[in-house]
Amino acid sequence: MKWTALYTVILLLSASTAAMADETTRLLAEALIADDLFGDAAVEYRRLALESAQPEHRSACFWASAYAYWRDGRTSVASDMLDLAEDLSDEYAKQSLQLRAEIAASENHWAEAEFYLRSLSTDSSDAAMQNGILRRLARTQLQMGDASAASATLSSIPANANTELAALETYESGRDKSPRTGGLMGIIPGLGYVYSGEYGNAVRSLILNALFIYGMVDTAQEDQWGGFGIITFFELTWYTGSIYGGFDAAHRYNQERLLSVAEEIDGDLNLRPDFAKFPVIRLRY
Amino acid sequence: MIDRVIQIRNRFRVPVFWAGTLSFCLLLLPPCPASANPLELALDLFEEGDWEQCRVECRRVMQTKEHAPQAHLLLTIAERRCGIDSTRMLQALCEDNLLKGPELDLARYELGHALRRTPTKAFPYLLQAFLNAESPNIFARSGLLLADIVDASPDIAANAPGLIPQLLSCRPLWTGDMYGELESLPDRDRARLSGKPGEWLIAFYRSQIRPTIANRCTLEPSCSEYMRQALRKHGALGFAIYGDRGVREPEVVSARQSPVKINGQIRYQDPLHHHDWWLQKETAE
Repeated sequence: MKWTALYTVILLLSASTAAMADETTRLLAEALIADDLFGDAAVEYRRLALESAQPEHRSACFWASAYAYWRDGRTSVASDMLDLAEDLSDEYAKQSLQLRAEIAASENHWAEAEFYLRSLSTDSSDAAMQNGILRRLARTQLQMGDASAASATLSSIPANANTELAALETYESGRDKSPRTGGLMGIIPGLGYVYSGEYGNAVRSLILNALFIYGMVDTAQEDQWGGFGIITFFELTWYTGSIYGGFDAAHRYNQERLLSVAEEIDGDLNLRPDFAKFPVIRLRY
Repeated sequence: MIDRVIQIRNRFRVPVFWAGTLSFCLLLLPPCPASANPLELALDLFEEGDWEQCRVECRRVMQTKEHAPQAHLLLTIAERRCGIDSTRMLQALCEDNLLKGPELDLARYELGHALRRTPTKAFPYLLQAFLNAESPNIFARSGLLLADIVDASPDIAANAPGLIPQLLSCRPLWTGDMYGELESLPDRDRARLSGKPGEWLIAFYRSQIRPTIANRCTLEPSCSEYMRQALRKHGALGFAIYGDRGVREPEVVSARQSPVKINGQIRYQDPLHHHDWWLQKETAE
């Protein structure tokens, strides 16, 4: 009897020591996430996963690790961690889908992100969550170049989305700049920037090219061929830069136009997991 | 006699009980998955190319003494990938008989690779790795390195009769990746040939001009680094990409977006991928 009691005490002590070690690792990981040290937090969650014996707990740890890797910008490792989480348990299937959508969006794989978000959008158990998912879906569709689908998605949001719909309408009524036209216009230094409305850059490009062409002509007239070679090298850099800038400025213009309406739709929507009741993971936007 | 047996049994009951409890605690309680291989996380991190975290993890395992030589080996290899000279540590591992079998072969191969610029030093380690290798990977890699060394200085193989036919016979095992490793192990970012002259210019600027005028660039990455990255990625087109940046610089600074503090100085982020993403997209299409 005496030995049985001692045996039980030892078992309990050992179990609590292991649990305390786990708890320390979990608290450390949470603190690292709070300090934006996502890469370090991801490793701590992985350690927690490897030290855990319960599949659900391990799955939650791998999910948390995937989240931390995604925030750290390491999307491929994040996907690997999600694979592990899904292999262990389907407890966090919904959370995994959401994170997969975020990962795909951050890699500009919009079609993939749309697929995940669409599969989540029908779940109406949490109204705030559904609202967030539908907004994300609309943004994704816009990034895919399908403004009418984005408009339809925004219209289906139970909450009022009139501001976003108006922004989308303004976007649809505007026109993108053609990068090829920008590049062609860049043959005349600065004109490519003018095409996309970057007048400051246009003036600088024109002045730099004019100065260096003047330098080239002057050194050639003076038969200073060494100086001519050096100035020509720099002039070629500025001149080709003007053409490249024409392309880049048009792309920048289109991107900014798209982003402004995408931000209007998204607002400050961010996937935020609540680790307070870990391994239970609650997500919110 | 019976009394004596009972006496002995009672005397051993407690230690046997303790041993049973301890083994039960170690094998069956929660930490058991981790005890399977303490280096598992470090190996995973190594496989993912996260050398810095792998180094930290190896040091953590080395604290426990158990698996310390293996952790030490992994640490030295990860350090090599980080560009740290770990030749001495590798030499100690090879010569102190701490490692056995495939681990020792790997250490010898890594040391041979590290010393490949001094063939006389590298040769004995590579030869041992090649002749004793159990892993086909180490066998092929050490064979390729040996062939490279023997090709450059044929006299070195005078004391190893039969080596050259053996090397010739394992030739079909050498892949393109292995030839790539011959050049340089840590540096995977190879420059394009057309961008080389630009890189020499940048090297000249960094070594001769920048020390006298100090680092004045207000952007991150700095203009010389931006140009270096552009030349590495796009070859001669990097000049045009830099020309565009030179024109845009004042505008980026005046926009004051994405500031970062580097060495106490505020800089504004303007990474290359913000200006060549469309180029890569068009190339992919």
